[in-house]
Amino acid sequence: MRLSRSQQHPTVGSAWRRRVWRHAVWILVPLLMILPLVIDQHYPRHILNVIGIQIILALSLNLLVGYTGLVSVGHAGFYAIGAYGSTLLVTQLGVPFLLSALSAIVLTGMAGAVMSLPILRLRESHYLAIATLALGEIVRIIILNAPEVTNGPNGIRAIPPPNIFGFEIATVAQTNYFLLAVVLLLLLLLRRLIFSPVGKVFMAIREDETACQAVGVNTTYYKVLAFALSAAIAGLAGVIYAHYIRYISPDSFTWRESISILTMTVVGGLGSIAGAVYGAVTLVLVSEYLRSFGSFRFVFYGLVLIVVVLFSPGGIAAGVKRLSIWLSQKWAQWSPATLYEGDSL
Amino acid sequence: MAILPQLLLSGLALGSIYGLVAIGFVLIYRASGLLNFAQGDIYMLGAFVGLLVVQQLELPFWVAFLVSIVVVGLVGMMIERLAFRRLEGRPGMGLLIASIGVSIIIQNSAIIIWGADYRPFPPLFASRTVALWGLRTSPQPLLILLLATLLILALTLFLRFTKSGRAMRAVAHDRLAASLMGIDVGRYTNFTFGLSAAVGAAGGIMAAPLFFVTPVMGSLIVIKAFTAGIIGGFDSIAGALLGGIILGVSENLIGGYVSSAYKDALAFILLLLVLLIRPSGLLGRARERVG
Repeated sequence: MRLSRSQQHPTVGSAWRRRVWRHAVWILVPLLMILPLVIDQHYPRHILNVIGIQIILALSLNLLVGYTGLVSVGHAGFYAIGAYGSTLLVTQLGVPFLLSALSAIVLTGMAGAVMSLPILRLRESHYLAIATLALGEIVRIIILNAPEVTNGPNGIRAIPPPNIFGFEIATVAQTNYFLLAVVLLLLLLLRRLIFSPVGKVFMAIREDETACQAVGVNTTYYKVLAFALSAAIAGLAGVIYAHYIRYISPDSFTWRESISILTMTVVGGLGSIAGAVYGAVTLVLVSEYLRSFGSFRFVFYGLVLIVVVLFSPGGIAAGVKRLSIWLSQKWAQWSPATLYEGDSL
Repeated sequence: MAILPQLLLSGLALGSIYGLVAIGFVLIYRASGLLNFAQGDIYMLGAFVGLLVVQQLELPFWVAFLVSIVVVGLVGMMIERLAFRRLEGRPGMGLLIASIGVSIIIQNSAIIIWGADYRPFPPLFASRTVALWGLRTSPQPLLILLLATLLILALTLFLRFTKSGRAMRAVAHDRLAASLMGIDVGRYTNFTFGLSAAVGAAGGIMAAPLFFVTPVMGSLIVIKAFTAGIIGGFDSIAGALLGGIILGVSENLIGGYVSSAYKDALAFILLLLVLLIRPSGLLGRARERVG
């Protein structure tokens, strides 16, 4: 079970932590809203956008790996389907952005459902990892070998920026706000999903699939659903990426991209929404810092992966949680409210 | 047209390379439940060590072959000790993610050390073709087939008839029961990783004269060897070998008669077909019904 002690037995600590979060949100969101204005430079603003897109990808994979317990090393494939789907609808058929984005997201979700059907027969997560790796590569090979539609290895240039009811999100700063809105909305939706009955089934499948079947849950249905939702979110990231960078090619969607998404998710913390955010922020910043080091960057990625699974399986999120529990216990010792409750800790 | 026998022969050679890498997969998978992502990079290391021995030390191919197997086998044991030991037997995806980490580290360290270029392996034979039952063919596939047969024979004999081999099989079969019988499970798991790395390295150095040697050569082979394992059933050495040969031969036939563009896609398609029709593989037992 991945539930921490404070979740199993609501104590002073968890109430305290919830209160802190509630206040933190009211501070963090306005801070994030003025951040792009404060850092009046192109490059840091661009990094913020990269972080935003990577957060969406990490959230997508965390839903699947962290909450449902199904590994995917092929998420670059869904990322690519979203990006190419929306781009082709806009450039070839002249569909307006909102409609093309929506259709691309739905299309990616459907692709996720269809592709998950054969591979979900693999009950072992290790099989699933390589099968999804293969699926992701199939998507890339198809894109590469269909130059009539996708322009093959040369990619598609000059993709129009997002146009929402006549308003173009063309500059980097505008994209900052667009992404902030999308990420916040997604965080809220995912929170609702995780605490809904469907989310509970996802986590139950992660903990014990056989037990789920024994109480009459159609686990295949929920696993396909998890795949479809996760794919759709990755598709959303692809849509935003394509219309922001305005150039896509199969090179952006190799299995290395899938692995870096997995790294973010694991380092941030599996089974934690905040973890996806921590992981994306940390790894984007670190990899920007290491950009000039070339292959050393990937060696570092590998080391970080191993160190995290060896010494802190819960990733950054678990560390933050431990810290906050420790703080809350300190707080509880001195808080007048708990002085009368005796030794409730 | 005499193209068919040649395609079959080189397909067999290619397939036995896939089979060897797949055997490495299956050995580790049975011993620890890990599908070792780093197996492709072990294969790459095998090719590189062989190339360095042949080029820098100017030793003959068979010495390079042996050195590569031993060195990479030891590297495999070291990796198990450093990265996997603490995670064995733990639930969850820790092992898998650690092996992805190991794979990234080996591949990118190789790029840092040796550069990302494609290096040619010196040809093994002076003459380009030999005649065999009236068939003119390159001698390389014959050598590969011979080496693979010898290796697999030796491996099978080792696993069946030596004490260490039987201990490894016992660990693969049931870790708890094996430890109750007085087998040092940790040690034999470590040996299994070494053995698997040695087999993978053999695949790498045998493939080196056919293809170029490059740090990223392991990426595609992981998927192909995995496909071979799935076709065979991931249960046995025979299954892995059969799967490898089916994949190698059919790849070559497609490449020869249809189009070489689809050659690499075939592995993926076969993988999905087997998963859809017979997920337990050709020689595998259906696990779901047993449990």
